[in-house]
Amino acid sequence: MRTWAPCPLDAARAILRGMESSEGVAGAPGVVSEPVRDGGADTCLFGLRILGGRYAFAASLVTEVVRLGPITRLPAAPSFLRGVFTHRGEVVPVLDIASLVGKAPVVTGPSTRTAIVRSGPWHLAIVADAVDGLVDIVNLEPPLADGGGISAFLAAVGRDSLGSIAVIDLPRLIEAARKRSVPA
Amino acid sequence: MNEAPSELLIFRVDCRIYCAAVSDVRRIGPTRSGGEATVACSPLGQPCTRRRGIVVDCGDAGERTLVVDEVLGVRRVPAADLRPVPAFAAACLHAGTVAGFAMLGDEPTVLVDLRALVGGTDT
Repeated sequence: MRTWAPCPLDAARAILRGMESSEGVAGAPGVVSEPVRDGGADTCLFGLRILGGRYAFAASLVTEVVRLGPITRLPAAPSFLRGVFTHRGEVVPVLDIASLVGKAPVVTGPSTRTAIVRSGPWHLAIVADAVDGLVDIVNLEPPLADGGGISAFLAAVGRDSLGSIAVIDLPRLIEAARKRSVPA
Repeated sequence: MNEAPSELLIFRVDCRIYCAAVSDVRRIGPTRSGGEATVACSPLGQPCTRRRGIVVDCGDAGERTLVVDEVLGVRRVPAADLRPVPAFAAACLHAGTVAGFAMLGDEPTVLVDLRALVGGTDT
């Protein structure tokens, strides 16, 4: 089992600052598209629900929230790469965080919404059970030490008016997904 | 994609539709049962009816036949309707079987590199 130590609070905040890219948030209006506004806060986070819990990541990574269209599966793709769909004529890959951490894949349907994110060179959609949108989290703390799974990608934990929420270091998670695909 | 194909062969394996560059196809014919150079099971899936075979020239490896359920026809697709593999997907796909996508309708259709597919698949 992977040993993992909690990061100090300052380190968690630094990670959050680093997670907010210079891309900013954008998104032209569309029928099913919901451009994400920039809250401007140091720790402006975007919330979604997966794995039976509430998670968030840097809102500045999110370019749009859209309804997930029909997914085209890709041959010989890892399970966490659910396939691709088209948005504004562009083919966008769909990442399933639940599958990545070894859990049951997110069940998608016609009403499923997805957050399109841009992290470094990668442009992809994150599929989730539900999308909460922007969340205001107070009292950010380092995550507890835990084993593998999603906890390996947590940067901090905090609370909002609905309860506890865990903050994912999304760029690190995406990079881990990419590296996991590289054949040995 | 190094070269944008304009004529695509549309075919079906199980319930999924794929396309491939016509220039990669030597001929289409009935499948040969038990043929050594027949690829019956590939990353595209397991064909149900196995009615047709797409014969591909694999150079020194000779001809190999990809078994499919149905060949739906050939379509001339403008370059504007072809899409490359997105960077993240390309980084996660290492078999080289997905050359890109063709927008044949509302959904992207996987453009298969037939030589990479049958050349790297056990019979």
